[in-house]
Amino acid sequence: MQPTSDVARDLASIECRLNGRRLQAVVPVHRTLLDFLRNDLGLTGAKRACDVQVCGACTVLVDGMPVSACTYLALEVHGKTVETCEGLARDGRLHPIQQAFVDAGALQCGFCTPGMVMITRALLNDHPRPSVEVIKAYLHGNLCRCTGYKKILEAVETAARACAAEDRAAAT
Amino acid sequence: MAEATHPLPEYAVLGARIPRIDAAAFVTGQARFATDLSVPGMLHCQLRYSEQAPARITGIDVSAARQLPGVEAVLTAADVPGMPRTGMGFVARSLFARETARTVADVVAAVAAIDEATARRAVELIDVTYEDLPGAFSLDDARRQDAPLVHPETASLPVVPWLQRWTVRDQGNVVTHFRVRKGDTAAARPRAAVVVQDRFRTQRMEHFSMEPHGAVVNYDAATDRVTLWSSTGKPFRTITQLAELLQLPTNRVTAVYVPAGGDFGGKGEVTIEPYCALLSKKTGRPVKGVYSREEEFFAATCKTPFDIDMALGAERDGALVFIDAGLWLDTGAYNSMSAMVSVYASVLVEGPYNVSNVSVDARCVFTHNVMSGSFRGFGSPQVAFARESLIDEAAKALSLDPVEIRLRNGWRPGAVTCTGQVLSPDRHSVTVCETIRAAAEASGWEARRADARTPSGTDGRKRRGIGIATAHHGLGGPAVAGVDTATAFVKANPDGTVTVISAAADVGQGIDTALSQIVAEALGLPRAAIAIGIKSTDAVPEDYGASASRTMYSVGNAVRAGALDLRQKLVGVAARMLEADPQDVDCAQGKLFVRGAPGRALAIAEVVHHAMRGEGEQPIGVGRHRGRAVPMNAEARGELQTFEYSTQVAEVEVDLDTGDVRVLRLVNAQEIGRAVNPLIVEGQMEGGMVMGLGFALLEEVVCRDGQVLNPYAFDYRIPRAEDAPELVTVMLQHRDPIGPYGAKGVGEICMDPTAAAIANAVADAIGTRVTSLPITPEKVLRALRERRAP
Amino acid sequence: MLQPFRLHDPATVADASNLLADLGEEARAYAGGTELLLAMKQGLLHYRHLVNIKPLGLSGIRFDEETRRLRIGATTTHRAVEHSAVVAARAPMLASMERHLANVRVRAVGTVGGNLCFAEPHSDVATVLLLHEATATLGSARGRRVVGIAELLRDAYTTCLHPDELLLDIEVPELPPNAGAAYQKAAFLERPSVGVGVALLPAADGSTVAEARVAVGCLGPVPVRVGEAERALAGAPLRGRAFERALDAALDAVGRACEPVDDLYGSAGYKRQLGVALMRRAAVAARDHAAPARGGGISATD
Repeated sequence: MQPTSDVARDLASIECRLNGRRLQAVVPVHRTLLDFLRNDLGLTGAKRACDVQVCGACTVLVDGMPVSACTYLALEVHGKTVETCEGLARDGRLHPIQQAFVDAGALQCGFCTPGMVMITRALLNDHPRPSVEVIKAYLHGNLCRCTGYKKILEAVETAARACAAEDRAAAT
Repeated sequence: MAEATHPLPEYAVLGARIPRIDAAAFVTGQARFATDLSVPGMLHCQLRYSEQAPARITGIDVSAARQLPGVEAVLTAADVPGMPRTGMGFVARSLFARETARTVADVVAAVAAIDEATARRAVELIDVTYEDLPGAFSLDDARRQDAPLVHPETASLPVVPWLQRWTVRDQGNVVTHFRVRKGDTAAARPRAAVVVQDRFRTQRMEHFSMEPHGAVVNYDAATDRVTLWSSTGKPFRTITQLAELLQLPTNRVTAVYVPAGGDFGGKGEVTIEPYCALLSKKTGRPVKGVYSREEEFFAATCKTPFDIDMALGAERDGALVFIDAGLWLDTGAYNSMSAMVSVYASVLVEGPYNVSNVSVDARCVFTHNVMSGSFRGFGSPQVAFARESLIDEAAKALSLDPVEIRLRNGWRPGAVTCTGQVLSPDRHSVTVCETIRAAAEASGWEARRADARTPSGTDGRKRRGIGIATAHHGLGGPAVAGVDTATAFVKANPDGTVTVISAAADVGQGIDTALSQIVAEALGLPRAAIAIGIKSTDAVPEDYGASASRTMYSVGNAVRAGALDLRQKLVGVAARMLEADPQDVDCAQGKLFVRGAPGRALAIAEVVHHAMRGEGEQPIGVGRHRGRAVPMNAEARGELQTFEYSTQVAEVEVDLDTGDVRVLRLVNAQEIGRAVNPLIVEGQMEGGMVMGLGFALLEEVVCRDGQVLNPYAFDYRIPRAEDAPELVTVMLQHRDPIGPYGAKGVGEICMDPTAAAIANAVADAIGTRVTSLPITPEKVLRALRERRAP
Repeated sequence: MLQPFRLHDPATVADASNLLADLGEEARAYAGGTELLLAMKQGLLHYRHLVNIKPLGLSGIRFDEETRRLRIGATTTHRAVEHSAVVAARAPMLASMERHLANVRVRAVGTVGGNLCFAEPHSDVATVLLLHEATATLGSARGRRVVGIAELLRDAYTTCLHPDELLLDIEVPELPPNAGAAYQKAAFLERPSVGVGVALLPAADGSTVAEARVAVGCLGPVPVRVGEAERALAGAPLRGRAFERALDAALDAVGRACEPVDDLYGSAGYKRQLGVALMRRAAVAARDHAAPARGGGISATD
């Protein structure tokens, strides 16, 4: 029998791009991405609300795909790109998704908002021109207790149009 | 959105549909909630609860926990001499269980450690031994003669002053009895052409604020002061309770306001703050504590479950003859806010209807369940569900249209409520019938009702139904206990800007934005010139907090009065500077000027500078709201500040095979007085309707033998985006005579009739009625089965 | 809150197998972690060692034209299955089920193999795979073996995997081109309360059911095929009264076969009734999708 090759770790070195910047860190392997962001990096945009991947308040994007940071190991971002809602605004200007949420009145207590913004980002990555059904399918896993969702749906639709317009402008 | 037809003056800022002034902080993740905060040297608190209850605690061994590296302090009852208790009704809740654990939320020990994980491990190392005690876990069990007493010392249990007149001491676990009597229901009963009655049940519902309860608390030994950043929506209530528990004067406990991630009536009582404070005192370090979602379900309060026995009689023409109701409230083991809920719900049983004979007996019952309390609606959604169900049954028996019977009975000016309050238009808008008509119109009631109940779905196995319900909400809950009051300061700064010093707590309702619009309006300034001052309980006047739909009405009124007072002061200074009669000086567009003489104008900055440096006094407006309410006396005679009304129409589709209920459309015609910011008002209305949908169809905290069985988001279903139906909001704006610019509260009434409307729509669809909430698919199928089996 | 553990990154399946054998009950294979980390956070499971199997190259989807089987690697994410054109073409019911599994974040991270190995009684995946008569390839340092889904899932949260074994992939036989299949679920809470799948494989002439498959999930510790219901439908004409009669008999059989218990998802009686109602809908949808004349009629209803 071949000897077992094994790399056993208590700590993991990670190198990633976080909100456009290179980041190097060493984390315990059991550190969740949410704890890493909130406690180690002070990025408290992603929230701990349900802690069981149901509510979406901790939604961040890893390589463009949405994950629940509450139940995702920080070490998994090694070699990947991470986006949180703190990284969307550029040069003091809100991202069109953020602007759409502001304008539509799509937030009340604001605790679910960072997750809502990020799931919208993920949605528009996957479906630049989403139907209402697709929007609702993406929002299925993001809970809001305040708004009744109507203005959130409006914000997502507006954001989709704004992002599409921005893409067209960038293409010409 | 439909606009009201009522003529309204044009305002530059007031009534403007502008985004929230603080929105950018939330969408960028920069807003810092209490649970986001950390301070240097901070420790983390975790609580150990009694896992058995009721039980006698025979031993608590914390030695292993104390020895765990990283643990800085472990506290139990032994460390807190005297053991103060707290409570907003009964003062029955101790910080630590000493000999008896009444519920699984009773705290046995509190740990402070260098991080959350260490604190959690320490909590698990605490060894507690118990002897089981018999429990009473349901209203029926707890009411029995031989039921185990939740508090054997009931007879001597302290009660807050206002509740003493309704406290009973000799009926076991039944500890309060509030009576409403108007007319004589027994004598009236035979006069009714039809009498309908039933038993209704409403469930324990979790607020499910997205932000859990949490706080960072620092005790400073040098000054003997406590500072806290808490998720509370009622900072003054929090510091009052905390000061009591810590045996400190309130001016040594300071809550710094931070945004609260939702409240909904669930963030009024102290939760983890006192433990953090005691641990901070013990360790000399700041301590942070945040509830897990699981703790949210059992350690914080939830909506008080009701059993409601109600009978209602009507004459042949639909006129209501009497309503007779018995309300039984499961308060859990520590009746705190539930007692006030029972009073308030009783007063609202009659609905916004002329009913000459009303009899309500509301009783709070101690059980060994986790503590229930207040929830958005404060008892109104529960009693509206029962009453509006029965009104529909009466209409059916009399072959009347549900809209017609409600219009037939709706309050007109001059109506007298069951507490003896005369509804005069110079005190409050009496516009419930307008909401009924508007809801019927906006929903296309007649046409849609004719269409309803036709089979739908691809295989014809679905049925549609439409239902209507009306409710009212009496503004300013504190009126039950006393007069509501608010004070605000509006300060002109040397650079011409204005800072508002108000105690309004923003729990997501956007009150700061609305208040800045009120001040801008009163002073004729652009909204951007107004800032809301950073708040703490030291820096702002005492306030009852974000509750009882009162903030816009009461604090808003104080802020408006303060702004007008400032305006008068500025005009006075300007008049002296311009050597004009103050009567001729106006304030608009950031300037003070003599009317008709545009050349004689001053910038506000110049006026403030002169006031301070020339006359020696900074212009600061002081505004007050004095509630016109009359506190409820022992005979339940009293007055609330004003009333709000909403009529809602629900359209549903019921799957006859699976029992699924899908709400297709909700129409809410609501009397809001005046929309200071329609975008915000609409948001409240929409959010309330969907929360009402959760109450109607989805949500229930399941308790068995005192344990909460579903304290996780995957086992407790709040409405999701796909559950939200088409939402139609109609804002009726018949200005309230007292509220600021005619505005009043909007945040509770919007969910008061929702569940009732949905229940009526379901009954319309399936031809039989589900009388307990939530109306789950299982209950629908059972009702269908029972209807078929004669 | 996650308690500390050690993470192992083996290079080969044999290494992973040896590690799992050595570490015994203190270790568990880790891939997406959506079920495992959750249960560990909640204190339901404790492992001092997690063996990361994501780098073992077990993810991927391909269709073997010869065997007419779809091969899905164990660490393939739900999202990859959901978005796969091959799956959409060869097993549309599976693709449709995946579109509605949990939420978009869980699908981006959670794996098909992890779902099966966790053996959560409310899993949709196992029910649909059971209907497809999928097989699972298990591997260890000692070799490989192939088992059916029914054999893989022993009990709630229990599989037939030996301590040193890993799930390597699943193979999903394509249904015949004229077959009709449908999966129906009811999900009041986050996880489904009941999931029922029906596949009808018409005879050559397209007029009768040659083979029927009925799988019921969530109503017991593991999803099950209901043989009696399948026999009731087999041989029945695809259209007309006779199909309805056969269906009624099949529904009776499903009602008898279910042995649900009272729990948060509802009473046993309710769940049985729901199972029967969904079975009817799935069977009618499967019948409507079964294409007697043309191929490619397999479809799924959501």
